[in-house]
Amino acid sequence: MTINEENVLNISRSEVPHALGLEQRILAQTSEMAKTPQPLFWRRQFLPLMLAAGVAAFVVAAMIDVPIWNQTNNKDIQNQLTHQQASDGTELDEADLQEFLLLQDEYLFAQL
Amino acid sequence: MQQTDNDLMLEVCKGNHDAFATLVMRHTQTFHALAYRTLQNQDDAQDIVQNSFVKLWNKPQAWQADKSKFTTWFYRVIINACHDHRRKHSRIVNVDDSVFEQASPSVESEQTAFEHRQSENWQQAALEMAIADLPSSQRDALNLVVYSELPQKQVAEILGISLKAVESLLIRAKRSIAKHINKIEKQVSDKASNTNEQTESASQRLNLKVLT
Repeated sequence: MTINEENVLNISRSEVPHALGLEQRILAQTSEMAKTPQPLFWRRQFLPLMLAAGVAAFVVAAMIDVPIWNQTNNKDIQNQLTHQQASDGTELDEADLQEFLLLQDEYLFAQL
Repeated sequence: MQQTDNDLMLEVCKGNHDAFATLVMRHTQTFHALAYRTLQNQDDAQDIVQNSFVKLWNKPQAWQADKSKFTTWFYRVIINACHDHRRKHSRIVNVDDSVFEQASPSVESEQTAFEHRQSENWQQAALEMAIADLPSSQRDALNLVVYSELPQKQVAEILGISLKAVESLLIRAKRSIAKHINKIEKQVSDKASNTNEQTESASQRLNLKVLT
């Protein structure tokens, strides 16, 4: 019989041998992996989370940095004045403090 | 009710090993058959399937539910793994030695050659060799449509080509195989007639010697 493209696939191919125990081998290998805890938290979630938190904290700190610094600065001056009051016995009120700050600003501008 | 492959894969994505086991039990032999048809080697085919399933367990997110069915996607994974394996090992023809022996039968007489040619094993062996010699695209299309019995539409999706291209690959594959088998058959036939002629002339010479 001449083999042509019509009848070529009538020839039966040799049987595919059964892959004995292949399923069991796959499951044994993957179940071992399933038992071993993967460092997913550290690798995939914790580090990016920490990075994001760090960036957010930096942004927030940058946003509130100036008022905090000013407050601290004013408090330092106030403490300084209180200390001065205690040492030379002069009484300073709020108006004196404002005047002092104004003078200080003028002094700083003059330095510029 | 039996869970679909896609449902099982969604469970596998959550780390459900039982769902994975169901998928493995359901499809391993089918995928192994395709790998074996492609590589013609039992050990290599088993390794390919095992490694592919292990990779699937480690990275189930690689499958995207909205893009293709699980089996379509995994057929593609297996075929690509087979191609990689072939490239790495440069195995052009991987058919077993026994297949070569069957394909090149020793010709003792016209009668035995004729019988050998008629045997199913001989044709099977010639067919395996012809398929192994096909370009990979034709071989993949043939294996998936004819031997894995998948619809041509799904094969087109697996191979990432059009339906027309699948049909064209199949026609060319069948034509090449037929040509290959006929060529082998002719070679065997020529060899058989040559051997027969040699035997006849030898016996004639022997007869002449005896007569003289």
